[in-house]
Amino acid sequence: MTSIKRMKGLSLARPIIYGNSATPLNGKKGGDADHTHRWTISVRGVNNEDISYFIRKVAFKLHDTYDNPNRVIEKPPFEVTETGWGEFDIIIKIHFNPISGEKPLTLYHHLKLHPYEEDGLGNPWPKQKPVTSYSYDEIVFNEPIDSFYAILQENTTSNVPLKKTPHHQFSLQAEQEEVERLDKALKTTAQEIVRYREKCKRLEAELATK
Amino acid sequence: MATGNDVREIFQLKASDQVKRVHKTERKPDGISRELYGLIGNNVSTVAFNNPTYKPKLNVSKKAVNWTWRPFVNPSRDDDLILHHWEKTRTDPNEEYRFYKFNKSINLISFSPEEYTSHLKDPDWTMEETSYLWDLCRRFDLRWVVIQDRYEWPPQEADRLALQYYNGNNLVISENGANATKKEGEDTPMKDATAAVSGSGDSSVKTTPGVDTSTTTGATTAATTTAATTTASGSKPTAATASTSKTVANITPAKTRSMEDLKHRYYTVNRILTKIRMSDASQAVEKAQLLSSMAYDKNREIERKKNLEILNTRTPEQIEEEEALYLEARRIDQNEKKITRERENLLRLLNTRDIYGPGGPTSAGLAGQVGVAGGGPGTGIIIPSNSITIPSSSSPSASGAAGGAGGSSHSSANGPLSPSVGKGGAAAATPASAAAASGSTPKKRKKAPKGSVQADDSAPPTPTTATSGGNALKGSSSSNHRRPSNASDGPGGPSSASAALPPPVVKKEKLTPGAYLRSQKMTPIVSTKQQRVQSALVTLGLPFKPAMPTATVMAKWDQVQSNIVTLLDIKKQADKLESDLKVVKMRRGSLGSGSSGSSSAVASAATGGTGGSAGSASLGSNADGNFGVKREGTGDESGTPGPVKKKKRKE
Repeated sequence: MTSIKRMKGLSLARPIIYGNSATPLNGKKGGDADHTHRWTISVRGVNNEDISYFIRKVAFKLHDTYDNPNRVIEKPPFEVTETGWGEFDIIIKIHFNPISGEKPLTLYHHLKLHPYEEDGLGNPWPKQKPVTSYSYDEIVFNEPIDSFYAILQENTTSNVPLKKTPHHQFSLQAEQEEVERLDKALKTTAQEIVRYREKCKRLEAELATK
Repeated sequence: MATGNDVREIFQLKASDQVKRVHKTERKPDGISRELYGLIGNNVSTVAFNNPTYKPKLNVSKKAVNWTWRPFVNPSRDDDLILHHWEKTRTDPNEEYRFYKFNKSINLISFSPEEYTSHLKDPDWTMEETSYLWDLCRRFDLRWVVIQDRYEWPPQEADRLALQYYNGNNLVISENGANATKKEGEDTPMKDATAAVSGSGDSSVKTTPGVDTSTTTGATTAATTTAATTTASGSKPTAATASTSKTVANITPAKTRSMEDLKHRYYTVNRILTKIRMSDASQAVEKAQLLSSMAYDKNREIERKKNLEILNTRTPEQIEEEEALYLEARRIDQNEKKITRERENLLRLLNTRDIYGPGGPTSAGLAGQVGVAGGGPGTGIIIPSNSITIPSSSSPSASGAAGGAGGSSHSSANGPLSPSVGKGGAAAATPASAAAASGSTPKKRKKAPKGSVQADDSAPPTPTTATSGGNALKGSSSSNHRRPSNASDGPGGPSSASAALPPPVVKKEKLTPGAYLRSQKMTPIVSTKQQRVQSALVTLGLPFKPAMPTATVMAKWDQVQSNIVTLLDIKKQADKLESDLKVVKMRRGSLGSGSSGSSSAVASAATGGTGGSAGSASLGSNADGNFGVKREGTGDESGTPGPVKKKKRKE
């Protein structure tokens, strides 16, 4: 281990999007009560970019009622498509490029098949529209090994799209909105803190005099 | 041989009746032979000599060798002496004298006066002195100890001959032409001596002008230099020469030259000469070799000898002390590793710092300006940090070994251990974080959201909803296999985990090697507070975890969380103060008024004011609501809620 050189003080991040999309199957095609939906769980880069340069394989652990619940996907696209009826937690284990020397990372995703009552526009969910549940996250490599760092440098990720679109739920705009929300919350909390501090002071003063 | 008696007779001494010295020997024991006893018994003689009972066989086959009396010449001699010796007839008479091969001498590079004047001048050395040195070197085969011992320059009065000798060898032509002691090529001392002696006066020594002219060029310069040197070294009039003489080797107190001085001069001259004579490029290699062999650094040599002397003259106590110190140092070095290892183990167990970040729960979010170097969510964000101090640099490698590329076996091994540690850690975190906070600085908290806090102990807080359940699982497993790498983390770890250790050097960002998911690195909230934090988040309109966890977002998220926690704490405190105040007011009010009923009514239902109208003076102060008798209106607020509640229950 001592021969491996890590880039001290450096931290690199790569965004990924993981989640599932599900479409209901109409009963005709061999659909029985057990296979009401076809769903696909995937791990991909934003903008569908290639992430195989740092991800070697992805192992999806499905529910035990599936045969071979351990599905290992070794080349992109890292996804598994199945049919079923129930929602469960899928354990996603991302194995990195061995050069990185990193242990596999585990994520969880709750498979979503059934829509919320309404879609964004206030209408009940159309029957055939696929139901999606994706999460954005960033994999942070702290102090990467220098050869791995070189690999990461060669493949810079494409940027997250600017605007929010129906296709791209994660965009800079979304991030911005989140930041704004957080900022607002920060301000509010700060104000509240100040207010309460004042109150405390006042009360203490009062108590002291009593 | 003179016996004692004879001597006495000679000296006519009385024959004293002396005790006859009897050589008392031990009686030989019976049973063994005398010879045997002499070898092994009491009086064993120290030297046992072996008297061979036989003689070596006489070798009669060899014929007699003829020897002849031969003359021989020793080539080592510079005269023509012929000696004789016996030699076996058979050897070759012309054979070289067998000891001639031992007549080796050092081949000194010698300089000519021209070379001297053009290259070898030195303010501290005259040419004469230099040639004197050369002569000594030749005579004593460059044995410096002897040379230094014999060195006497300028030659003293006693050595008049040497004086003349050296004077004679110089081309000293005085400017006035007064006293020229120039004897170029004439180095027979006798001649010089006479010349010098006779030439004491004036120009009588100007013997061979012819010779002079041949070397005029060198001579004049030599003259000037020597003139200069003579004046510099102070003129030392020889006994014979007049005061105006410019001879060099006058009698002055001998300059003491150290061995380093002599060597330095010798090697310097040699180097210069080598450089001059080997200026041809083809000899470069040879030249370099020679030069390297002549490298002599006077100061270093002086230092070295001084050090050796010191080393040599150490007293036994000093030597022992030094040995002891050395051993101590070695021991400390070895123990240092052991100590750091033990420290890391401790941290791994305690692990309090990881949970809360360096500053504790409240400060965890004060990350403020985390050094995000631009870039949005899509770009790889590179965060340079300050140079890492030594303790931390050692531990990342250790932690790297522990947690980084170890492979899944590591995580599984730590799996069973970590959850319990995590839980214990979380529990201990709160009190420990206070201690940790004291030792840390704001800068370190900056790092909190980044990598330092990774034990995402949202695991212990029981997951209630599905999402938070997912989070919790995520958090625990990722934190579990991150924990060992972080536990052995550098500066932050040792500092906070045990208060006894000194505060760490501040590093802007503390990075532990490893990969993680950003959303999993949220600062954990104590389980007891989690509920209220969540409701606060709802009030603020925020989801329980950010939708797009980018670096900025997570930083702000942590800030918000910490703010919320702070806010909740302050609220609690405010509420407490308020209630205290109320109670105090209540009591004061009742004291003041003295009328039980109204005040007890005011005092609110908590006091269960039924018959505050006890009215009696003894209970007057406690009229408001049946307080415990012992509480005589002391105004002791802290006790207030307790008895009140108790009373209420009783009634």
